[in-house]
This record gives sequence, structure tokens and C-alpha cells, in this order.
Amino acid sequence: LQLKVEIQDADPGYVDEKVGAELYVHLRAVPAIVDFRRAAILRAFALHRECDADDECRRGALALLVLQRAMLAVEDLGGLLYALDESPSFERLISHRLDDISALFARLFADPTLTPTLYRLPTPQALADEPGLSDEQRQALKHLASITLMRVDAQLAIVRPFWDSLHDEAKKTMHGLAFVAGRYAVEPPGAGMITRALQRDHVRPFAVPLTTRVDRLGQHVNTEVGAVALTEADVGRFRTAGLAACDATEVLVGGRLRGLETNHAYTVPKTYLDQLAPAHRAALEPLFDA
Amino acid sequence: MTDLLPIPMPDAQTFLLPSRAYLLSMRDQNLPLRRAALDDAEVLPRDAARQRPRKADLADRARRPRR
Repeated sequence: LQLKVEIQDADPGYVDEKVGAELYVHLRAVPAIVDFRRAAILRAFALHRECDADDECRRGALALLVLQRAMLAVEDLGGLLYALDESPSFERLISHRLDDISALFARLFADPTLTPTLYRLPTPQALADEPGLSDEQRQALKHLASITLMRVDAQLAIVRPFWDSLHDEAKKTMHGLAFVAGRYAVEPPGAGMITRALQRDHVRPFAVPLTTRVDRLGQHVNTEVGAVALTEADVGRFRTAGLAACDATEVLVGGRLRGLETNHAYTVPKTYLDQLAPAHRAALEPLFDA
Repeated sequence: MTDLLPIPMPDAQTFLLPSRAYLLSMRDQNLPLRRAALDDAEVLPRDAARQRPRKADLADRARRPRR
């Protein structure tokens, strides 16, 4: 099966040079995907909040659903950032591994130039070189770009620890459901060796993810036992991280699409325009209205 | 009558209790998770589709010549 893609809203040559037609088509779908992810997180969070507080196992189940949906939003963001970091972007998008996302998130925090580069935020030099702007507009755009970077950095600072600490566990909610409910691990008669491997005094509800590895040489099966905290506060953190990933994805893709469709190397989103001083906001409004 | 084979009961700590806990967890936590997700999947696409349509709303700087 072959699909023919005709690019009408952008210069096909420019799109092809920058990211390729396949990734451009995907980028156009991302805003709808983000809407879907956001709605999914909020719906799962509402189900959890409305659940009978005494039904510990069901609360745990719905907390795991929030975790799953929030992590999918984070994985979308990480995959896109990884894809856009180098060519060929589309191949990277569809072939990355979880470790690739972890490494990319780590690099974002080790290299302060990487986030503005990936988000195509203008450098001070690019703003200084841009013709047709008043000094006030130039200054306002500089502030807006700084605010945008600060916001994105804050979103990434929420997303990264969530990813690092729980992406393996979130995968288990999708494949195999290898979880023991904390209740059955701590209430008599317990879960035998699983209970013995647990730390004492876990706040409930929590789930015990089971990671089983086959040692073929030693002819053993080893099962590692962890714990995922699923209290109301934890579920709130899952939600916050998932929504931060949605916001960060929206700014990333909005900027990239706009740049591709208008042949611009840099874009400044107006997402945070309301956080500018009134005079700066007024100076930029004609640019955005145009 | 045939004698039972001398096979001991599986060790409770290693086999019986972990299996019991896992099966109870499937019944009370893991399957409810799947059921909630399936029930919600029926409504979710409509809910997401109702959200406002998004338009690119960005200002552009550092123009490149269009080829």
C-alpha cells in the first residue's frame, strides 16, 4: 500500500528539506492527538476522584489508569523531541526506544541550548537581525521568547522525573498487567515472598509491579518487586506531569508547523502573550493579528 | 487403591501466596482497570472531539525566502 501526500499548506521543498513529508503529516495530526491525550487524562482523573474512597483496589486501578494516560502524553513528547533532534526525523519517530527518550530528556537538562533549538525559539542575534521591527517590538519578542522558554523548561522539569521514575511501571499497565494490589500484599495472609521483599509501612493504596527475568544460564526465574504509590497526591502528580507534557507538545508542534508552513527558521508562540507587560503586549499585537 | 505420588505441596511462601495475591489483584484491581478504560473509551473520542478546534497562532520571525 502506498499513500500519496500532497502538501498544499507549505512549500513542499522546504518541508522535505527540514523534516520530510511524513513527519510533517504527523505534526499536523499532533494538535488533535494532544486534545485527545488531555481529555483522556482529565477523564481518568475524574473517574479516580469520584471513586468510592473505601474501595481501595478500584482506586488503585483508576490511579494506574491516570498513570498510563499521563505517561502516554509524556512518551509522545519525548518521541517527538527525539525525532526532531536529528535527521531522518520520521524514521527516528517510529523506531525510537524508551532509552532514547530517557537520554534525550537527560540532554535537555545538561545542555541549555538544546531546548530553545528544538523549539526553534529565536536567538538574541536572530531577533537583532530581523528587519522590519521596531526596537520595542524586538524587545517584546525577546521577553516573550524568554517567558516561553522558562515555561517550557518548567514543564520539562515536571515531566522528566515522572518519566524517569515510572515509565517502566506505566508500560506494565499496557502489557501484561503485572501488578499485585498493595492491599493483598500487606493484609493477612499476605503474598509470601512478595510481601517479604516489600518495605514496611507503605501508604495505601499502592501497587506492586512485578518484573520477571529468566536467567537461562542459572535456570532461574527472578522476579523483582517494587512499589508504585497511588495515593491521591500521587495521582495529582501523574495528572500534572501528563498535562505539562501536553502543553509542552502543543508549543513545540505549533511552532514547528508554523515555521514549516511559512518558511521561517524561528517562531515565537503567542501562548504566553498575556504574561507580557501591557506595553509590550500592545507592541506585538499587530504582528500576531497580521 | 493407588498410592499418591510423594509430591509435596508447593511452598506457600514461594508459590501459593504470591499466586493467590496476584489472582485477587487481577479480579479486584487489574480487570477493573481494563473495564474502566474500555467503558471510558466509548465516550472519550466524542469528548475530545468537542474541544475547540486549534489553529496555529504564532508570530513568525527571522524569515527565510520562500523558494
